[in-house]
Amino acid sequence: MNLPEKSKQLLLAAILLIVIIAGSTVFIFNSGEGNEKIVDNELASPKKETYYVEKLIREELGIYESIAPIFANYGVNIVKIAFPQDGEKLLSMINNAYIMDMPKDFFPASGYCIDKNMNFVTVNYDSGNKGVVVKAIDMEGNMVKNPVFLDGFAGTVFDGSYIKIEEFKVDDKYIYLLSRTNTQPTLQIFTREGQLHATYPMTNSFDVDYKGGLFISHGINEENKTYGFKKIDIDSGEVKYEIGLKLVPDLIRYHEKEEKIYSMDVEGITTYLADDGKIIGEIFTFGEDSTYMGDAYPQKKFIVGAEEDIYIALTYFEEGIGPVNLYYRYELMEGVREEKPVTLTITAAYRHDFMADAIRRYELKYPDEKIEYDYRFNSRQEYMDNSEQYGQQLTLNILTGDIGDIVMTGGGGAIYRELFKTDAFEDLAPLIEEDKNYESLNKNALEGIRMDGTIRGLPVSMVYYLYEINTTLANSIGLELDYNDFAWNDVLDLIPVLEEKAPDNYLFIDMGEGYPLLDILIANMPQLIDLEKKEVNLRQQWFIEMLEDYKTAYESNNFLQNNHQFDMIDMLHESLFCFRGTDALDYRDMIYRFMEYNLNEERESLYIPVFTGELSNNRVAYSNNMYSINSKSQNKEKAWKFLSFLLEDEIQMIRSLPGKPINTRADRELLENAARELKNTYGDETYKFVDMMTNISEKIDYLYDMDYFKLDIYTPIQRYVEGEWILEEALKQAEENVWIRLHE
Amino acid sequence: MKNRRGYGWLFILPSFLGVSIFYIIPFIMSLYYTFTQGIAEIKFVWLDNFYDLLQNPTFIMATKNTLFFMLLGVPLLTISALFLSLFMSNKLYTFSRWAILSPIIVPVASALMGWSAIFGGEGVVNTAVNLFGGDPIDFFGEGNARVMLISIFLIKNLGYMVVIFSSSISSLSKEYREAFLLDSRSEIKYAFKIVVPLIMPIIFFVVILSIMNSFQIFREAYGLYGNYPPNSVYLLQHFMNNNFFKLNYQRLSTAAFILILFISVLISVFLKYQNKHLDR
Repeated sequence: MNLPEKSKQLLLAAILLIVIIAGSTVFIFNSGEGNEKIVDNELASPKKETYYVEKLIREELGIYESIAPIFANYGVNIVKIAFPQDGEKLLSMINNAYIMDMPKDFFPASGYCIDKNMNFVTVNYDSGNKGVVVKAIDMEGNMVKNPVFLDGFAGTVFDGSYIKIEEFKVDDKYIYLLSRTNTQPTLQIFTREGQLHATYPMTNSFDVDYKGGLFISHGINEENKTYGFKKIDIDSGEVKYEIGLKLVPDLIRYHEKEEKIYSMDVEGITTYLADDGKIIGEIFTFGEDSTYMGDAYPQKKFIVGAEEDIYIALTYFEEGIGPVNLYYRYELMEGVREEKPVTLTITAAYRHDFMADAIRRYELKYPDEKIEYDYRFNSRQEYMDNSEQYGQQLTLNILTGDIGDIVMTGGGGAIYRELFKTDAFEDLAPLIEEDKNYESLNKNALEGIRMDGTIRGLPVSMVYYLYEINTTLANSIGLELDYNDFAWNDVLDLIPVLEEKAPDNYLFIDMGEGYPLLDILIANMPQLIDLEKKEVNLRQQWFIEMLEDYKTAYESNNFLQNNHQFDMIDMLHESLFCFRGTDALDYRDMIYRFMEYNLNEERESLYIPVFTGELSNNRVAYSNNMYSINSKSQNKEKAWKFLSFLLEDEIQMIRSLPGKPINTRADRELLENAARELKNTYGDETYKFVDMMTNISEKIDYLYDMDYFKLDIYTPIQRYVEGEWILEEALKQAEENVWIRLHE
Repeated sequence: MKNRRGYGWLFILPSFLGVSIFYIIPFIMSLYYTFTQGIAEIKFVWLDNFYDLLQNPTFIMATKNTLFFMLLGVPLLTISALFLSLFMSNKLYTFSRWAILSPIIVPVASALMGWSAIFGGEGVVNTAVNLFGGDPIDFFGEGNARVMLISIFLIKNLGYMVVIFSSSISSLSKEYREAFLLDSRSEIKYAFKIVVPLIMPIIFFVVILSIMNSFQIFREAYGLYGNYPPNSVYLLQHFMNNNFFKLNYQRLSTAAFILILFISVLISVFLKYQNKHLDR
């Protein structure tokens, strides 16, 4: 078809336009789909500039009443019960003044609340009738209704005589009771006649909107796969929405006038729209709006006043005094809090909660200091999506001196081993060795980053690896090896044993791309590559034999189990070994999973150190949380003061620490705390976990996982293993890959 | 009569300022790095950096690769462009000219996507090979990397050089052709005995331009392979780039200085030869 020139051009333009419009339409319609129930939590509206001003309203010493720190709404007032010597009184938290004497028949041993009609409602355990009873009296002390016995109370009756009530509310239709059990608190809803309406186990906190809506906050458990809160229709039990959160929401409150949810966790208070759960923003931050950190006082109560003023009660125990209750009021102010001049700057690739938390604690301890946390990305994921560009930018910034006093060198953009060959960062070795916490630091890990006698980065935490071994399977195939001293060759030799004695089982569960070959390479790398002499020798006979054995094992049907569904508890799936890291989970979660797996009598497992190399142990860890002092900084002393602060036990035990502490004392304490917390549920067996993890962490040899070198070798070797290349070809390519990087 | 001798400087002053600030001055500053070591504490080391660099095996390999690429790619490009220009000199060939020129306007990333789509592991060619029962060919692997890179270089730059040659050929006076046709009808003889000598300055220009462009092939190499390509296409720019990331600015500057020195010498030799040739 011979079209004129102009027609051809018009046709081409028309086709192009159609393609663009069609593509844009498809893109627009395909974006934004999601689950309606679990709300995609974008910001509901722009956050106002506000801050809170703290005031200590009241301090109570030695008041052994569990109901002392309970707040309640009394009209527009925020009140609590006070216990002066002349009798119980209702106290206003706004001005710390008594409002009235409590009625004579007011007996709130276990808990109380004030209903919408300003009646005092109490809940107690009646040991005579062996039941939980709810009573309501008015201001004069007259019984409003007959006492109601609750049918089907699920909380624990301690010593046969008392119950522990976490939270308690009533409205016209229901009685809401969050009571302590031997494991997790349970929320129960009873009718005003005492009949059980609904039960919500493992609830952290709750509130109601008095319009038929119930808000529950929860941790991770069998019912809930993430931390978060949900709104439930009380009558029908229908879940209106669920919101997943990053941190455990300890307490949740509903504000009637603002129609907002206030969720308190260890970092602060965040608000959400009650109607649909959309996030409004963080309005209160511990350490910034308060003179203490959120985890300094685990026992807390809070309530929000009519003008969004916040009241927080903190309880702790002091020897010789008993319980100490502190009551703070936080008044909401418009605008931005006046900033102090910056005394130190930290340059980092991305914001990490741990560092933000540590900075707040540091500024609380040293009020004259102000640290600027200069990060490029808001999250690690954002950084990972842009890591290459950031690495280039960081390099340029180091050249131009456009970096802070402290720079994140581990886990943030550059290969620290290359950075530490230069003098861009201070040698911290003398400072570390003189630090008050030096004796408790993991020395092997520190040695692992020593180069030419210098240590130019401080690993604040580290990630190390371990294997879970299915000891039931191991025993059934007659495995009699020292689990603490498995070499990779020993492991590969198990394939024929499995093929013969357990043909339906596997050596490994699928651990993701590259494993276990990467693990084998890391364990043997120091004998293959000499970084100091810049030599690589992959043709050592023992290594060649190992690769041949690995290929044979890889080709076996019993090598890798890769057809399984995710199971949070059973990660072995009838395999002998499962590879695990210590980055994603804290010790409580690890103990929980370990104990839950081993509760089943038909299975048993252990956590063991990673397997050793052929000629040397080479058990490595790595630090994605390492910081260095800029050699050109004018504030080196202050910079070290802050880094030293990061090594203190209290900071090393912050929950948001990525990985595990470099401070072994803090690490041990974290382990023991976790074991102690779960001892009520699982018994003394939890301490077995402590011993296992201590054994594993003590066996770390050094802190370097060979970064790109392992990939240089892995890629061609994997092609050999998969039959694409012969071994000679693969070794030649691997050596060439490593050679360039070594000699540049 | 006004003295207009200084007017030339005024005209070039704006761009000269720009070139000075963004190229010449930084170059002089980087010269400083070539004689020093250290970042926080600068130490003067005289010619140690040069000595270390000239013994560095990776630098030597990168230099060899870059030279090889240049010595093969530049003549190939120049000759191909000249040949095509001569071939197309008498006819319009609109579509052909457009097709040859189009690669230069396609962004590098898009072009590489195209190359991967055709020659990649699951590209068109390998799919066809698989269909016929053959083993896939690793076009971008170590064995074929050089060929692929030179092909990319040729296809990308051919159109531009053809345009330069074509415009110079078409600007030749028709009298030369008419005079030649009196003695001979051979187009080949006309091309090599008349056209080529007449456009020799342009050929020199194209050679120099091709040398410059041969260094720019690093973009394609980086786009295909990243910081660490197969050894056969590990170029000087890879070496310098990677040393930048290792904060080894001194080594980077030393390598850059040696490269600039080499290019300057090369172009000086070319220009001298060109001047000699024109003076004849």
